[in-house]
Amino acid sequence: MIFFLMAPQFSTLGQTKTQENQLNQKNLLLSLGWTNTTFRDFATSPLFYRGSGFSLSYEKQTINQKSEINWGFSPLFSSTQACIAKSDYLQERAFSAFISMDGYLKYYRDLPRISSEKIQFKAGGTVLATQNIRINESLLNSAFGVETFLNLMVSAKADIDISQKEEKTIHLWFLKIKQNPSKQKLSFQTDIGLLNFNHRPSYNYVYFDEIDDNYTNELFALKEHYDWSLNGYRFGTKIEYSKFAPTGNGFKIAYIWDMTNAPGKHQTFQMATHRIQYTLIINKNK
Amino acid sequence: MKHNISLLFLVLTLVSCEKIFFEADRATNDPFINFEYLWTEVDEKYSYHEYKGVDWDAIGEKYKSMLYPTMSEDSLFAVLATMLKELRDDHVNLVSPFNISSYEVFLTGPDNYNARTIRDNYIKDFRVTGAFNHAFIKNEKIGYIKYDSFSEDVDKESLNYILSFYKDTEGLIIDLRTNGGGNPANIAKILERFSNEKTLVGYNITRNGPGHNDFGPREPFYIGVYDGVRYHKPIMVLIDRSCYSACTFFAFACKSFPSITLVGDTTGGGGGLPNGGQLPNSWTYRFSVSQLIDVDGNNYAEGGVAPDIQVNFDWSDLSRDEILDKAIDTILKD
Repeated sequence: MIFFLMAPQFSTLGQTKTQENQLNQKNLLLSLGWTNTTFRDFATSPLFYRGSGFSLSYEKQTINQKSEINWGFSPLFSSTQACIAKSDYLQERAFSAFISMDGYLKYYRDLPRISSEKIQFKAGGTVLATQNIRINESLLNSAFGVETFLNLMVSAKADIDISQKEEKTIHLWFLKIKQNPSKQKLSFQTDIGLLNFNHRPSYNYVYFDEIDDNYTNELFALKEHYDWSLNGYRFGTKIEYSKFAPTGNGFKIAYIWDMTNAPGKHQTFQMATHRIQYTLIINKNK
Repeated sequence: MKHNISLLFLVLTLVSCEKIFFEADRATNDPFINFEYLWTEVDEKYSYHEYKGVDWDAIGEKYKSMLYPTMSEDSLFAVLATMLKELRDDHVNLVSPFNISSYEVFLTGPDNYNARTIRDNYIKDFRVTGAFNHAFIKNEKIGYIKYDSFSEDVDKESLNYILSFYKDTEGLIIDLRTNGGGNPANIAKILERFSNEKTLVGYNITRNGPGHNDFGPREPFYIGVYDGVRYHKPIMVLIDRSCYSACTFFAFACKSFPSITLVGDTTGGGGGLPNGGQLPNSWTYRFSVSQLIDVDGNNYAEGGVAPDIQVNFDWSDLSRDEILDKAIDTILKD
């Protein structure tokens, strides 16, 4: 379905450079975010791990009158702590470093029939790949946790035009703040996983490749007793405010929620991240 | 204003949204729930029930009867740790903030190593290179190398230096007594220096189902050939009951090398690779989930690897190390 939706975009690739520049708005998006992560890996623990961290993101965006394409990658670094029942004896603490890398490609088509000048609806698909690496020394020989997710998702988006058309003055106590007319946008976006693949530990896993002298690649050794499964679900939502300068540059502030439930073949992995993200929009058409 | 409130409501809803999808939090100090969790994990994943003739159901009944709702965490630890000791396996541990349980297999055999005996009577000064302490003995006819722990990483530059240093000796002694194991990746890094061809030394099988005898396919355990400095004269590897886990794996692999002779006492075992986990009360545990079997299908590593030459340390005479003496004699006699 994703490729079907993308086909019309590829058919326009034969246009001349000038035509393309007139039609396509190209942006580079650089983001920094504060994150709150929750995960639980039943292969090693029934406990939730929660904690804060930060994320970075590099994204390229192409928007024209009919469609929008975004692709990029986003690493996330977080320090999490096990949610442990209170002890009246000697309180345990368990920490896990959580590193995650997302790579994604999003494609939206405009839906002119249900759109208006004020609200523009779009629908399309997302290919999202995520690699997690977790380090939790308290888990002894299972200190390393790695999992991979590959999701083909159906995506929908609504862009609401909240541009300021006229100059405005805000009175804040004794301050007078003058606001010039500017293009502003509020966006709601949702992704729902259609095909959810996960690469999770098998019934048991040991890093036997570390012992065998054929072992050459640490990541391969870590994932020796892992299986691919097609199950579970993944959801994501994004609420985003964008403001543009007359040059086409601008910024965005977004709240992003992403949730994964991956049963695997034997034991479930669950993960949710909440992200407050600031993005610089750099107009690449100039 | 109405719009802003709706937006705020939507955001707050999303903040806690995953709670709708995830199962409830399972963190608890309840002794019955923690006991059941640990017992089930061991039942479904531990690899040596049959090999050791362990009746895990009966053990579960016995120790479950010791639980009561108001028991202290210390008492629960005592019950769980004693239950795990029934597996007679040092790869089985329970770790709490106030105690760590282990079987202590080295106590099932005599001590066979005294560092002062070697220092006072054989070697005055050790060289320290990487993870190894080493020196000439017997008028530079033999190189002696002590490797204390497989947790200390072996780097190729250190081994290049050591094996070049002793290249004109008649043999090497690698002393692994009291080496309790560590990173098994170091096994091949050493043994590939004594190898002329890629050698199959055994197989690993990993438990893959709820039945106590459910195991996955055999995974071959090879030692390759190092492309660089190697040593091909007689090698004596000294072992004892404290040689455990990766050290047992090493001794096990030595059986496939004609130039290597094991001298001393049977190793402590630890032929299963352990896997770790966490209980609902946050204590952590680990236990063996695999078995090591030799090229002929024999399964003995968990009980320990027997030496080719059995010798014990005589504690009535601390001026001699009988195990080291035997290794020296064997090299010089050859």
